[in-house]
Amino acid sequence: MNNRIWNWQAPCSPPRSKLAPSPLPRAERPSQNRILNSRAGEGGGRGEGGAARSAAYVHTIGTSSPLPWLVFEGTTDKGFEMSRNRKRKKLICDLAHSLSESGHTKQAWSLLGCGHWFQKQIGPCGSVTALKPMHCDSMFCPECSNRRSVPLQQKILARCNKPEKSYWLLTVTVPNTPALTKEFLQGVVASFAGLRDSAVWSDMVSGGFYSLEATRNDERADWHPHLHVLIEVPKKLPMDWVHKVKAAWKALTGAEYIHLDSLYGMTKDGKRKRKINLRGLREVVKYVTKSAAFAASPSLVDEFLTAFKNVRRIQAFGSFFGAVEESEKSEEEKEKPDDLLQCVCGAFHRRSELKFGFGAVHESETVLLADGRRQMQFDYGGLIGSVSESPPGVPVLELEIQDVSIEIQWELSLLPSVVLPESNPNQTALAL
Amino acid sequence: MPRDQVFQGRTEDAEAPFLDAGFWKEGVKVTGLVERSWESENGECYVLTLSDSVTLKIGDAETEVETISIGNMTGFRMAMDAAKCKKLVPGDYVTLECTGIKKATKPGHSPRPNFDVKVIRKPQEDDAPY
Repeated sequence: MNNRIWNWQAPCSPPRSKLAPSPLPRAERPSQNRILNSRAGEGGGRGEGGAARSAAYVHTIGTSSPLPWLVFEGTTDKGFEMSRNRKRKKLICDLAHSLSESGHTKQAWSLLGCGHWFQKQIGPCGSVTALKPMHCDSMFCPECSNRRSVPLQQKILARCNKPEKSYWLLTVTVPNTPALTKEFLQGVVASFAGLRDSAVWSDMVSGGFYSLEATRNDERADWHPHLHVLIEVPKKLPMDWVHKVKAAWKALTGAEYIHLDSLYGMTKDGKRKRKINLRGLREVVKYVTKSAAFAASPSLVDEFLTAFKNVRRIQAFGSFFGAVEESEKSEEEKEKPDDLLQCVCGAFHRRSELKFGFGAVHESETVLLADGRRQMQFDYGGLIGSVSESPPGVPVLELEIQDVSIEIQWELSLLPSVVLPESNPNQTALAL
Repeated sequence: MPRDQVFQGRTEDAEAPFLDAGFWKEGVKVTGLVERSWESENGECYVLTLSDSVTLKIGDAETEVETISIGNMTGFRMAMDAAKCKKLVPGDYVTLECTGIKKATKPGHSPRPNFDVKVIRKPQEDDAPY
């Protein structure tokens, strides 16, 4: 039997050329000679009454070889990424199951297939010129939330640049509620509109942006609706302003908790940085539903969906008015109709000339190119089926065998204490 | 008649201080052989005999140690997870390099050292397909 076949490698072990040298002193390593001798049957055993003679070295390449050392490599960052992806997949599976159980079957399928399906865009030549990803746009989908929030963050960042103003994050809460309803959420939004109309607010705040959110408290079995608000105020905000806002909010809703936080990062000395704290900004415009606490419960998922149906979760006001609409437009305008796309036929087509094809393409039928573009996989089955003879690949295969035999010889030369036999092309070919 | 077996050991010989978060700085690298493993309340920990001794501050004095314990840190466990190595076994040759310290995002939590881990394991006879 050939060395190549016997020398099995574990799936996790690297290619032989990458194997590290043995870390142990030579005497402690699993002796290659010992293995070779025992297999060759030359060594003396117990049957010889302890008078074992040292076996002569027998070259047995092709019948024995030590197993390679296993090498495991990993980094914390990669482990963190893997752990996060696992959690995200579990969450999506839980949500899809809950949606399906609560009668939202279509949404469940969309959520599971988000980003995995593509719409064909056919050029004037009749071939598939481009693939457009199909998104679910579900409020539970982390991918879609991220896709929608990034352009919005950029829009808001571009607006937070007035030198005579400062920007703050305000968290406004209402008392927890055991049942989440649309009326309750509309009441929260209406109360906040009332606060914005008050003199305390309008004297200081020139504009801003809010997002409505509801998290689930499992221990108390209730919902916690709250608003994250970004506000634009004069450079010097009076210290007592937040207390006046608290009093006004309490008069409207009965809730006392309002938290004001700077949108700017802080230096080690406690001084404010010029740069805006992106983490804080993301909190306002993240679009993400924190659904981990209730994802596994179909009734709670249904309650959340029903309550938030047709309720605007992100809204700008004052000087920021129109920012959301602009960001949504810019996302659509990213694909300009005048863009030229190269087709598989070799010609360039304008995006406006493309028509949507019938049916969707799954991710497995496509291939991601090195430059980030995605294209349909080559139809090998169709090609082989279309010719009458077997593919003319024999000369190529012979060439490959020669290449591989040279590679094997080079790799074997790296191994210690293995004497290479003279090149025997038949043996190499047999091994392959 | 078979003789009685006698086992002797000293606590000092088995003690192995942990390399805590204070020891790790970006670029610090340790290499060693896994001697044994033991279960702690923070998960499985391993005792390593280092190829190069390290200086640790134990109490007030700085002591040079050759045998240390690892495994109680989240960064290490994540790196092991990424390497698809469920646990270390005695005889494994481990290289652990700190690639940076991640600051804690929540108050009261300690910073997390990030690692690049490499484990070289002697193949077992069971690994062979036949």
